[in-house]
Amino acid sequence: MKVKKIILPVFLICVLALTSVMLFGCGKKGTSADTYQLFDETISAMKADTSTFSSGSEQGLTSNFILNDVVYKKEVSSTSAQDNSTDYNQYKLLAAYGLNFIEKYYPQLKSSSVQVNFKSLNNSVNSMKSEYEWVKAEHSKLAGAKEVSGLNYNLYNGYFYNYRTAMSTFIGRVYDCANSLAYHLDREVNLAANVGNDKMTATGLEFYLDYQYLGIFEDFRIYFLDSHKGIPSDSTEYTTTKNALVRFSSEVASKDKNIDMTPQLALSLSKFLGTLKNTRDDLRQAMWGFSYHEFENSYDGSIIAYNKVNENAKIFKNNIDYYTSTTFTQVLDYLKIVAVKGN
Amino acid sequence: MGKNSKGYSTGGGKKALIGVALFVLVAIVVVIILLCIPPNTYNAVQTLNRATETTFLARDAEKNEFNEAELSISGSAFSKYSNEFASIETLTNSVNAVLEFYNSKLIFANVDKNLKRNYKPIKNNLNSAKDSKDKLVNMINDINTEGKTSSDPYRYKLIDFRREYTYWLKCNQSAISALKNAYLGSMGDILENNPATSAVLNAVDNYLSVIISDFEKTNDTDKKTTDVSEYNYKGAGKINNFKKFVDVNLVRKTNIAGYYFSDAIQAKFDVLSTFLGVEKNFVKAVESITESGYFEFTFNDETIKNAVTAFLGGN
Repeated sequence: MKVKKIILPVFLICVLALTSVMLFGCGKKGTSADTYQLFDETISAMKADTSTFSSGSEQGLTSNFILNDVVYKKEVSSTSAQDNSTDYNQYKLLAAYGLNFIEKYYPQLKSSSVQVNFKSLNNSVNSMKSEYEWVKAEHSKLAGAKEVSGLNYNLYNGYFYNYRTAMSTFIGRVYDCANSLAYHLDREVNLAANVGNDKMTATGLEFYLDYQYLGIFEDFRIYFLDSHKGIPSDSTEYTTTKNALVRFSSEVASKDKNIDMTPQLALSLSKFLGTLKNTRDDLRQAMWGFSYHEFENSYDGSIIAYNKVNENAKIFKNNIDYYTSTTFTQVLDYLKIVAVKGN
Repeated sequence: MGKNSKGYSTGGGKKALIGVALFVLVAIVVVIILLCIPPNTYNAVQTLNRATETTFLARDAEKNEFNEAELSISGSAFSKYSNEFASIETLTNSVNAVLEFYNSKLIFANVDKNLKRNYKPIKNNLNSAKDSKDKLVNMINDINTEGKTSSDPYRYKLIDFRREYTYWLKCNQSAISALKNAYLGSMGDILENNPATSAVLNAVDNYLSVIISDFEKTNDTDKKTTDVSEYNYKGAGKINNFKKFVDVNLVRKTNIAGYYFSDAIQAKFDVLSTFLGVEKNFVKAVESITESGYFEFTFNDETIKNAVTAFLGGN
């Protein structure tokens, strides 16, 4: 009887607590219109920020979001340095594509009546916005440093390296946001539902291809900004991969899409891209398992030495190098023929 | 009026029952957990990783010892064994290249029932191959120590070495067969898992079966009780073709990596599948390879003949 007197109230408290959590968790779903508003404010603010961003093109990609002043002072002697605007081009390209994607597709939220939990999507926008504020602040300091006449190049580079760190994190949040938006439009709005059948629309096919390209750009983001920690390398593999990114941007992603293709061709293309996605998942596993930065700096480029602390290092490196030098070239040639208009 | 309660207490029995019930429940939970713990398939990855580094003739020191033995044999009364030794080196390098191919892939395999089913034969056979390899290394050292004598014990060492090498091959073939099953079933739908891959990996398996069979026949005829004149090695053609096959298909991955992107490769494998679809065709074709690498197999169609002979490493 005493036990019953204790158990019953405890049980009731547990039920009440669980119900409260469920109500709280389920309560704040948000609406598509609210999320649209959040996107609109953030993207509009970035577009209006002509100090941090410019409108223009990068490797064939036209964008309102080309990061400014991605220039550092590369040493040419012990006492002098020259402006280098190419070593960090990939930052500009990666940021541009990610933001282009968001800018292009967030308006879909305005008229959507889908009722899902928008919390995750909202969080991704807020995260991106927060990192944008940091990039803006660091860029402002760099721009200020540029104005200082006769500033030592090492001091200038100090400001640039802070800007670089902010850019790297910001680009990561851009891709998180873009992927969240893409996931929502793909799985919850079903924008690409009919790719490969008779009900396929040009809009759906275009979104599908943009989403696939977003994934490919993110592969490069992981390579350059995670595995290499955003720091350029002199290695042949790095140059090969950078060239691959440039080719992808200029020969595929920036070109008009073949959205008039037949449903049969679209089906075939989607099967190929599905197979490619699985291959890219292995590539990402390799990139997350192998730090080029550590390999080059802590182990002096010795795979034997690095393999002693990371027994799969050689396997992962070979996988990445083979993909970026050989497989991706084949993928590019395929996409140029099938997915690009006029080929 | 209510009934009077009985004079004794039932509390003790009830507690015992609850205790037994709890014990049974815990036991059931423990058994379920133990049954559900997946085999540590990562061990198969580690075993394969180490196997590729320590396999026979992977290390320079072993290669040097082996080459010294080859030289020693060619200058001995049993110089006719030197061709076989040259083939053994070629074959070993090709087997190691096959293991290297799988080693570059296994870590990306999906951990599913198929992989779990194959991880034990992969691990056990590679471990057996490692033990066999240690014996082979000792035997090579022994051959080098024995010197270029014309006595039978020297020849017996060569015979013993071949027997142990045959066993090493069989362990590796069993491991490779399980690796093939793991790859084809667990790599998933990736660019390098396509009809060409399936044909290539099955061909490796079959090729090794034929080559091992040749070694076993040689073991049966070249015994310590028979005269050395009965020894007649004829495996070079098949082994040289196998080397070419492995170089193209697994080292350079010409067909596997190119399948999705080349109409010509896809057409080639359409032709091959017609031939390979007939039971034992492949084995018969490989068995027909002569010492000079020529196929004595009769092909019904010139297109098929060209596709098959090129695929199997012929001219």
